[in-house]
Formats: sequence, structure tokens, C-alpha cells
Amino acid sequence: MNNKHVRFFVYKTIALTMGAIFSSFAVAADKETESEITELTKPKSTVELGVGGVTDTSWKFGQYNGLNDSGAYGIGNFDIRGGGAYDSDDATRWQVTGKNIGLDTRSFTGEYKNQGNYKLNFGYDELQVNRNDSYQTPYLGSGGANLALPNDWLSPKTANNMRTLPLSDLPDFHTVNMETTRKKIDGGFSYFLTPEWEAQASTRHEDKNGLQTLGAPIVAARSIILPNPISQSTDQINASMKYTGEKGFGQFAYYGSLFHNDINGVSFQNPFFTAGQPNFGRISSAPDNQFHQFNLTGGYNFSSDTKLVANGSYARNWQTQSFLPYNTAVDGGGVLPTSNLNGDVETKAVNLKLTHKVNSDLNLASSYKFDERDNNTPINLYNFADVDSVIPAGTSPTNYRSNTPYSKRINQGNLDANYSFAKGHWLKAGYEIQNIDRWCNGTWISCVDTGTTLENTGKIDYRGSFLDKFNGKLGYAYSHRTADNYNQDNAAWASYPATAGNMALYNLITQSGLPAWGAFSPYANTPTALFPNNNPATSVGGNMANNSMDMNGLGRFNTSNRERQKVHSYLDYQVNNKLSLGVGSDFRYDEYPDSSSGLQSSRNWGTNFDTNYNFDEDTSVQVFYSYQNILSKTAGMSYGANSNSSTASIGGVATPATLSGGCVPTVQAMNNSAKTDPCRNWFTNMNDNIDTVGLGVKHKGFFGGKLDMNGDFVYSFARTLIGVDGGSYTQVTGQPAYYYTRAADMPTVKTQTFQFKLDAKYIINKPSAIHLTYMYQHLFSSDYIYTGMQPAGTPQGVVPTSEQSPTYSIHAVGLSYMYNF
Amino acid sequence: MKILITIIMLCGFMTSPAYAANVLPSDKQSTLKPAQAIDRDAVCTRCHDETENKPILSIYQTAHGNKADSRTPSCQSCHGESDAHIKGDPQQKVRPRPDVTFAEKSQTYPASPPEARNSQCISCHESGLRMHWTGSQHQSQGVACNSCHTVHTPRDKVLAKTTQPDVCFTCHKSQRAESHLFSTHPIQAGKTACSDCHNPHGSTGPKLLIKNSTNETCYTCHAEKRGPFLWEHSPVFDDCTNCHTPHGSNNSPLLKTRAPWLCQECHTADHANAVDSGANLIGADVTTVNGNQSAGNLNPRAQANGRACLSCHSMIHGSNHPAGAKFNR
Repeated sequence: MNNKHVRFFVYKTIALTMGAIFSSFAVAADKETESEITELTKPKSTVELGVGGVTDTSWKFGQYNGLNDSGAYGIGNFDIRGGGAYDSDDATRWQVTGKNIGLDTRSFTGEYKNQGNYKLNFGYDELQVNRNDSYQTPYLGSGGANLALPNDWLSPKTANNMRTLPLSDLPDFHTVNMETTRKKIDGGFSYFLTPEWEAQASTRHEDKNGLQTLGAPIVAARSIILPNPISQSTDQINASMKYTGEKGFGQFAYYGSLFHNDINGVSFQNPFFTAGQPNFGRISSAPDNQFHQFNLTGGYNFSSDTKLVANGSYARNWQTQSFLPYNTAVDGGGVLPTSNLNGDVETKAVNLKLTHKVNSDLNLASSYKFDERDNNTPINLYNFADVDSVIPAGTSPTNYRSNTPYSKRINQGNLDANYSFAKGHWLKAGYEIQNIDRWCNGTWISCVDTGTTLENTGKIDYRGSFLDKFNGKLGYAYSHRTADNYNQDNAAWASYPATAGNMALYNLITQSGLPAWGAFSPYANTPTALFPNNNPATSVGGNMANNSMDMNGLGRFNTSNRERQKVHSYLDYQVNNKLSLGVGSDFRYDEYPDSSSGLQSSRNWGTNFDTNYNFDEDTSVQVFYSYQNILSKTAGMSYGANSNSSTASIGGVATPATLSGGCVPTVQAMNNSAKTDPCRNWFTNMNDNIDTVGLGVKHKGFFGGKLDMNGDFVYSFARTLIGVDGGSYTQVTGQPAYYYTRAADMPTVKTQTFQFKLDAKYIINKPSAIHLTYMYQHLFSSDYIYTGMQPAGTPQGVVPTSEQSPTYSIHAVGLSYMYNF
Repeated sequence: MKILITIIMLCGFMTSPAYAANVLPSDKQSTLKPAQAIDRDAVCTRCHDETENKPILSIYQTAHGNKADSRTPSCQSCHGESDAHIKGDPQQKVRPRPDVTFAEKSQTYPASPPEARNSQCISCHESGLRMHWTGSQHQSQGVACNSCHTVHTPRDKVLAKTTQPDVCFTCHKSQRAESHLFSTHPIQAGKTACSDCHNPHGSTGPKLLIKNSTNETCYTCHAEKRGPFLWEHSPVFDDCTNCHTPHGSNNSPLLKTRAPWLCQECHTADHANAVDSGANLIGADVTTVNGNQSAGNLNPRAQANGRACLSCHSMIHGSNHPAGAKFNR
């Protein structure tokens, strides 16, 4: 190899000592060398300007990329760098960048630093998130917090039945674009006080504005999807003092996050309005809140083989946003117990990690984690009517509920040993114990299903490389989680007032094991005072009666007993210096052995195949395929028939007590069977199947090194299949009985995406290039979140939105000129 | 707040060049002149010069080549003194390997073990984002710094938001597939990078998240969901991933499973106890009830259709409305 680089400096020295004649000769001889070195060592800047176009409009195609509208758009990118030369005494470097400046996804950054002394930086980032362009609403005033119906709006002909909406209302529905925009501006600096001490601070202000849909009920089981206005901001501050020494390091840091919402509630007119109903409803928005955290972290190297890292955090999070009134009535629906929550949460965390390298073959690591969210928010009793329902004169609202401020504490320990039993072969064994306590400060009984869960996990991994061509891993982990004194009704019970009646009922149910919705034959001697007509007593809080309690055997998946198994594996095969193959697989299976209702099990497994072929340094091909399957099994029991009284009913409708086609002949028989009917037990299988195929081709140097091209193709096909087993009884008008009807599976949710991207760069000369980008994307989707919202296709109580499941085929082209300097 | 802003402003002034020139302590001045540092590198660059296929000298465009900074490493700071390699062995065609080699696919000089490579980087970069590197998931799985970083290039792919996911997806292939699903964060659009949520160098949080917990990490962008709310939904404060899967889902918005069954995994009371049949939904079967179905009953179940439970219980992350105990206000 030549030695031009060194010669350049050597010649400089020679030139100085040998005189002007020789020096001029040497410099001339190395001009070319200097140019090549400068090319490699001088920071490169790029400016790109051009124009692009999109063939069609689609919110989904342009959801995050700013290409949601058809037509032309400007292309603008730049990356300009400067500062002192690498071999100069000037440590200054600076950089400004701009990306996508012609789109609503534009961003800018800037950095100026004197390396080793200080750094300043700023940034601006914009992101328009397109959410839906087919949403329709009859409301006027979209974007504001008061949504009114047109003056000519008429309520449904049949009360509360949106399927009987007068035809004259239909023209009132109009399209409103659902989109939000985030705009972030940030700045920061870092400064070395000494080579060991560095101060850093940064701040970010972010605004989020726009519209997104929000479901809002009015009176019982009537719902409207509102155009919900968003006008929020978040300020984040980071400040730290960092120390780096010979034997260790330390950092003291502050993090603050302040959220502000300009809107504290959205008022909307009742489109179902009929006598006795409220004319308006109001739904709240997220309240202002603040979070302030202090972190202290330190690390100490006892030796090169033994290291300790410790971290402690303390944070306060509070929220004092003024409450809205209970409802939209003139008197506000009653007197609030307090004007705001005075919410106050303390968060504490401790992390310790000790690592020790016993010898070159054995590494040990142990760690401890403590993480607590202690919610000290005061508890109050709230007496309210549901969803702005009118409170008849002289009566009180039926709901009495106390807030349940949740707290949680994690204590976790880990031990890991990583042992190399042969060169390139590692065996890792690990054990983890995790104890989680959950509670509420100040509730009359526990507010959680279980106060403590304990999970033990054992892990073993093999990782190795062999024959100089294979790299692989096979790992297995097993976890067993137990929940202490599980009671599925605690959360609901804790929110009801601690009256004598409620306490008696709770004690009876807890001690006897009765299902909370009432007694049945094995418990015939249940006090009738507490179970009149075979129902739980209606007491203060009202909704403790009837069906409001969860069924015995329900295990909430995040706190109930669980067995978990995980397998992770991969094998990479470097066939030769051109071809590599890889296969990997992940498997996770969760089972809830003691849960007869709720989530029964979930399984998530996937496999991936990858291959890369490098024809040479300039040309490569990559192909991959991924398959993923996610399966969740959920079970439940319907227990709606629940009375021995003569007004026995199903679904709240007075009925003859005869059932047809089910597992029991009468309502009475159902009551005698714990108010359940095997035919009304249900079981759901949700199965996500996802195939993804990718092909990538890169080539540099077409046309004598002037043209570089990349092409990528991705195909993704996802199907969500939901099988539903079970059934329900349906009353048919004019028929003497309820008929049993089997449940139907859900429509399959499909998403199919083809995407092709081409990126080509043609070098005109050293500083100039033409850049061509092309993208074709096709999406077919079918999702009843959207398709289920058509006029006459929604449930009776839901206002249609006419939303369409997005489907498109779109081409986008960009042509730009790049200047490099 | 004002005090904090004042401190930041003051610190901003302190970073000005004028301040630095007068106040910087003398021990921050370079002890090795840039030209001397270049001469030291010349031990290597006399061979590894501008003619190398993979540009070696472009490291001088990076922070590692800024010789005016006294902390800047020489070639041998990272590759070791490599005396045998420098002297060469006349008996062999190829010089003995340098002390520490990094290129993972090199046929000439196989890469040094990850631990040897990482120790070179960690000797300077142990603090800051790397504080929790030792014992972290990536470290213990044999990931080397240069498995992700390319040091000699001025544009390291893993440090740019738009290209970073490609680097991570080299190993995290399930996440690569998930990023193409219907409901995602803007990962493919280059607006969300993996490092917005994860610190691959180790962290105090689960899954290498940047904060102490999953929720704290999510709240960095979704602070409106932090509360505390008057009515808290217990799985929300517990862990966002009880319901959400962050890399992509066929169930909007980034849900692990679809409502109403997502809700019925935990709720069996009141109307959540009933079977949620797909009957009468657009595109699904129609109930007939022995051929006697009335038109009024050809009505999809509200809890199954459209947004399902969320049509009413939309404040599911928590409500601050005094009548919002059921997350419907």
C-alpha cells in the first residue's frame, strides 16, 4: 500500500528543513494525495431539493409520512456540517439538518460543540398523524368543546333507536378529518466543568392539536362517537451533573414532565333526546398533571472484574385539575365532596447490580430492584347519576362510589451465571424472584384481587458458535406465579361505601364462597334479608345488586396464578463469505390454571427465516419470511337470569319463564343451578395469523459507478379470526318462549399490504447527483371497527359514523437534485 | 419552575465561547498537540490509508477523529498496541492480527471476542447511557458495541432515527414484521426510533426501557395518560403492556387482543358476562332463531360491534370526571 497520508506530513517536515525549492516540489507532488485525504477527512454536507407526487388520497397511506393527500409536494433535505479540521487546534464542530421540509413530517436539528468542552443543540419536529378521513358526524362545531346538533335535527322515530332516524337527518351528517399534529421544539447543552464533571440540561416543549374520535354515552347504552378536540402541551426538562473517574462514575439527574390540557371537557347535544332525557352530556378530558423525578446513579469498579452499579429515584406526580360538575343539569347534579382530586403519587425506585468475573470462563451477576408507586390521593365518596341521566326531583342519584387510588410495589431479585464450558460455547443459568404488592391507601377493604403476587422464574440458555460457520442460541424459561388470597370482587366492593349492609354482605360472601350475584341451592339457608328474591340486597351504592359482581373463578390475568414458558432460539449459518442463512423462533405460552373465567391461556409464537447473499461489495440480496401466531382463549358464563320472583326476566325483559332449545327448560331451573346454564357458557378463541415476506436488493455502481440502486419489497398479510362458542336466549315477538341462539363467529379482520420501494441515485459529477424515489403501496383492510359503523348497520343505540376500512393502491414518486460539498 | 429556567439560562451562558475561554480550567487544555496525535496514528495510517476499500480515514470526520480534543483516541487506543502486527512476520504472507479486531465478517482477521472489543469502548464510555451496560441483556448475550455501531463512518446508521430500526431488526425479526402491521408506532416512517423507548446499553427498566418502568417510558410521549386520575383503571397504572403491544398489531390501537374480549379477560360482571356474538355484524352471520327472527333483532350486539366496549367506556385510561367511575365520562 502507498503511504501518501504519512508522506504528506513527512514531506511537510522535509520541506521546512530543506528549503523553499524542495518544499514547493514536495507540495506539488502531493496535491492529489492531499485532495484524497481531504475527501475522506473533511465533513461532508448535502443539500437536496426536488419535487414529488402522490397519485391518490388516503389517510392510512399517509398516516405518519405526510403523504396523505394526492398531488405534488416539495422535497427538501439538508445536512450541513462544519468546524475545525481534524488535525487543527480547533475542536469546534457544528451541524444543521433538515428533513422532509416540504411535508407535515418535517424536522430540523442543530448542534454546535467544542468537543470536550461544551455542546449546544436544538431541534424541531413535526408529525401529523392522520387518523381517518371517512368519519361523519351530525355535530356542528367540530374542533371546539361544545358540540351542537343542527337546528333541524329530529330524534329517532322510535325512542333510542338510531335505526329509525328520520331521513331528513341524514344530510346533516358530514365528513370531518380526524388528524392530530405534534410539534416538538427542544434545546439543550452539555458542559464539561472539568474533564471529570459534566453538566447537561435539555428541555422540550411539545404541542398536540387536532381531532380524534371518542366514544361518549348518553343515557343507558346509547353511544355517540364524538369528534374530540385535542389541544394539549407537554414540557419536559432534563438536567444532570455527571462524574466520570478512574474507578467509577456518578450522576445526579432531574427529570420533569408537565402536561397541560386546554380542554377539560367536551359538551355534546343528545341526538336521542326524548322526554325525560338530558339535552346535553359532557365527557371529561385528561387533566393537567406534573411529574418531577430525581435520580442518583453511581458505579464503582472494585477491580476490572468486579463492578457495582446503584441507582435511586424519587418522584412526585400530582394533579389538581378542577372537577367538572357531576352532570349538565343546572344544579350540576349535586354537591361535590371536593373541588379537585388533589392527586398525589410518590414513586421510589432502587436498583443495585453487582457483577463479578470469576475467571475468563465464568461471569456472575446479581441484581435487586425496588419500584414503588405510592398513591396518596385522598379518598372521597361521590354520589352521581350515570352518564348525565336526569335525576327526578326529590331523589338522589343512585351511584355512591369512592375512588380507589392504586399503589404498587415491586421487589425483584436476579441471579445469573454465565459459564463458557468450551471455547465459544456459553451456558447461562438464571433465577429471578419477583414479589409485587398492590394496595390502596385508605379503602375499607382491599381494593385489589390479591395483595401479593409472587413469581419465581428459572432460565437456562445455551449460546455458541461452532465450525466457524454457525452461531446459535437456545433458551428456555419457566415462571410460576402465585396470587395470595385472590378475591375477584374486591376491586368493585372497595369502591362502594362502607355501610353496615355492605360490610355484612361482603363478609358473608367472602366467608361462604357464595357467588356475589346471589344464592343458589347449596346455600339455601342464605339470609333472605341479604338476598331478597334470590338477589343481593340493594344497599347504599345501589349497583351492588343484581349482576354487578364478578363471577367466582374469574382470574384477572395480570394478578392471578400463572404458569409461563418461553423458548427462544436462533441459528445463523455463514455458508461462505457471500451467503448467510438464519432461522429463529420464539415461543411463549401463558396458562392460568385456576381461572375458570376470564383469560384462560395465551400463546404467541413466531418463526423467522433470513438469507443474505453478497455478490460482491456492491451488490447484495436479502430475503426474509416471518410467521407469527397469537392465540388467546377467554371464557365466561352468562348469569343474567337471576330472580325467583314472579317477574323473572332475561335481559331485563319481562318474559314467560319457558326456555326453548337451551340446556334448561325454565328460568326457575336456571336459578336453581347457580343462576347459570351450561348453554350460556361461552368460550372465545382469538387467533392472529401474520405472514410477512421481504426482499431487498442493493447495487452500487451501475453505468460505470454512477448509479446506485436499492429496491425493497414487503408483503404482509394479517388475519384476526375470532371464534365464539356459546349462545343466548332471544325473545321473538309473538312467540311463547325464548329461543336459544348459538353465537356466531366474528367477521375476519384482514390486513393485506404490498409495498415496493425503489431508491436510485445517479451521480452526475463529484458534487452533484439526481435522486429518484418511487413507492407503490397497496392496502386491503377489512375491520368491523370501521365497517360496523354504517347507517342501519350499527346497533340501535349507536350513532353511525360511516367510517370505511381503508383500502388503497397508491404510487408516490420523488425526483430531486443533491448537492454534496 | 422559574428557578429551574434561571439555572438553565445561567448554564446556557456558561457554555458560551467567551466564558469557556476565560473560565475553563487549564487541565482541560490538550496535552497532545493534534499534529502529534496524527503522527501517533501514522503508525497505522502509513498502511491503512485512503486506498482502503472501507474508508479508514473517514474516522477523522467523527468525534473519534477530533484531535483537538485531548480525549480523542488514537488507532491503538481501540485496536491495542499491536506490536506484532506493526512489525510483521517475514515468515508469513499475512501480518499477525492486531491485538483487538472488530470486523465481524473479516476472513483475514476474525473479530476479537465481544468482551475484548467492548472493553475498549467501555474504557471511555462507561458513564452516561452506558451506565448499566455491564450485566445487561445485550452484554450478557455477547453483543459487541460494533455489532450495532460503525465507528469509522461519519454517519453511523444506528444513530440516525430513520435507519436505526434496520440495525435493531437485524436481530429483532419479530419486531420487524410487527412494524408492518395495521396499527403501529411510526417506526417505518422514521418518526419513532427504537431508542425513543429502549436503551440498548442497559437500563433500570424492564426490556431495556429508558425509564424505571414501562409506564414511565410510555408517559414520555403520552403524558396525558399519567394522571393520577380520580377513577383509576387498575391494569393501566399496573403496566401499559397489559393491554397494548408496542411494536405493531392487527388490532387498533396497538392492542394485544381485541375488545370486547380484551375487556372480558378481566370483567365478567353486568353486561360483560354475556356472550359477544358476531351475529348480525356486517360481514358476519345473521341470526334466525328458528326462522322467527324479527327485524328488530337483526341488530348487532353493541358490545361486539365497532369499538365495542370503548364506544361507551372510552376514558379507559382513567377519568377525572366525578361521575366517571365507569370510565364513561
